[in-house]
Amino acid sequence: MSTILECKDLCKSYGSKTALHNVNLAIESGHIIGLLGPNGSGKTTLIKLINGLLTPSSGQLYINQNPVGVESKKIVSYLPDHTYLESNLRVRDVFSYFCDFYEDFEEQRAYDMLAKLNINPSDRLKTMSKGTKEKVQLILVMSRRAKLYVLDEPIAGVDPAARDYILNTILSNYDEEATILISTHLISDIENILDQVIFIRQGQICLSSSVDAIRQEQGKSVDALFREVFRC
Amino acid sequence: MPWNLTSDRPIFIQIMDIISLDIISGKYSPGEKLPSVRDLAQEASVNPNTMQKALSELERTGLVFSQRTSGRFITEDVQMIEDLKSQKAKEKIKEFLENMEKLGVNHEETIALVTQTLKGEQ
Amino acid sequence: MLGKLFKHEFKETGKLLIPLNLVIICYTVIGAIMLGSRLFDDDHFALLAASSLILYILSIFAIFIVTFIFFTVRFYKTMYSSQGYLTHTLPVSTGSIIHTKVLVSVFWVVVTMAVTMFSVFAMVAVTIRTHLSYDSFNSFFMEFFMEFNEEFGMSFGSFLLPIMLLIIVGCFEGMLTVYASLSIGQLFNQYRILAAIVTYVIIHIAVNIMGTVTMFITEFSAMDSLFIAEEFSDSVLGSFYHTLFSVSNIEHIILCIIFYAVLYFLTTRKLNLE
Repeated sequence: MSTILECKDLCKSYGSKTALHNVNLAIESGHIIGLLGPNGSGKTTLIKLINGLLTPSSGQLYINQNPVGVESKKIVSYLPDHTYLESNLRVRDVFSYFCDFYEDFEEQRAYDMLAKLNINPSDRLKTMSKGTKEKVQLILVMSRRAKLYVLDEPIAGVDPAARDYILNTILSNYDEEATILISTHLISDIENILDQVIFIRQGQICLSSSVDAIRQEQGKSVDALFREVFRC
Repeated sequence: MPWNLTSDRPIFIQIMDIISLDIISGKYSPGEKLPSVRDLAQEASVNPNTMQKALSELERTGLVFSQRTSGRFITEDVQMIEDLKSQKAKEKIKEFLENMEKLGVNHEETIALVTQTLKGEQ
Repeated sequence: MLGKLFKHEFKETGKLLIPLNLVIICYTVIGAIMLGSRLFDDDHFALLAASSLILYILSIFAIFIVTFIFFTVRFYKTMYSSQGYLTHTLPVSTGSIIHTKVLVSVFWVVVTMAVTMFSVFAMVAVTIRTHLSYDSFNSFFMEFFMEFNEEFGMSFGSFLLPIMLLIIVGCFEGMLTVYASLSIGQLFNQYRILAAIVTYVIIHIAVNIMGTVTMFITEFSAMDSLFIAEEFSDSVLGSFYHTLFSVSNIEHIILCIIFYAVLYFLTTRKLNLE
């Protein structure tokens, strides 16, 4: 087991507003980890820092012992919380784009998943419903053989059937050496597939534990614990 | 179809219970090969690591055994399965009797009611 | 990876820039046919001739404005809006992304410039051919070059070269000003587009003032040599011309380097997507 993600005194502020404060975190590879916290707690900020979309105010961040950069981007597969593809493109174009840039992108797997959903590869993204677009993005992300998958709110705002599909896709494409970091505030839906959870509140990590330990020691589900910790 | 898991107990223990039950009930016969961790995890909609842990624990009880290359198998020790079956059955009966006592039905009356119900079914 | 970035950038930008340049070429062909057929010699067609010319000039302007806006919007969209999430998570260095964006956009602007110049040249050539009584096409230009040389004391080539250079540098500067302004706008926590526009206007005014000032200084100091020279000769005029353009070119090249450095530094070190 090696450390896939490490944060040292990581801080991020936007002007006078602090989004992350002294985050220290080490994540071992081979786990599915839930990054849990209410809206505005700093989940997305942390995820954007991991992907190099934000520059830290102070502190360090390492992915597989490398700072964020070309090397880290090769092994991180990221699903943002919104659509980020040009809507004019066809699915096929996007696939070939990923194929060109990501050595670990398995095009055949992506096409297989597409076929299962009866999505035509020549369809343009702009003609698709929001849910379909999200599925296409998930297929792109999960068709990579990455070491770290970072999924920002993958199940927010989708119907239960789509949610089942998403969780299933994640599980069926996950290989045991990889690590998946899932941010969400819908805990009960994904609790069963997590083996570790990180609670984040007001830009600080307030709990990092295995799901079994929480259930065994506290005798309650992560969802119940979350409600207790973040009671308003 | 995800397995029916409750939220208060560790998931791997619940998975162990479910697989044990499948063995006792004969869904898996002695010596049969278990599906892979990945397939079972997907069937149950749980983390493969959790499934792995549950199966390792089952191995420790002796109910399943692994062969390094070919996967995991149900024990061929029929006696052991039978023992487990009667143990589980006894647990259920105890639980049932306790529930009847709560209703104010004593053991003799319970037996009478059970017999009566069984006859009714026939 | 740089090659792949270039390939995709060309593919995406070509979708608009190839048709735009084809439009110019179509205009040229139609214009050349009309001019060559002496259609406009007839007074009845004077109005048509005038309006065609106006339409032509306006279209060329429109094409340049569209090109400029297209690259501005494209840079913003692919770098700083939601599409930036894809651009900046590609396993390529931020430097190569910037190189690609700058070089491909400047390439297209220069190509469009060249096509436009070719278009104007072609129309002029056709007019000369059909309307002036020269033995051959070549002899007209031979005569023109020779007269030019006599008049200004330099060859037409050495007259054109600094202008060409200034145009290319100008294309770089035009795009880099926009890109640098957008990257500066990203430093703000709110109203980033507004900040970019304000930055652009400020840079634009500053560069213009600076250009005028340098021009004045150069002119004055060069003018001295003009007066000192005992005779107002052609060669003095030539060297005056070249000094003016060299200073101008160097100034704009320096500005390009500064804008590039700003863009590079802010994108690699200060990136903060919304």
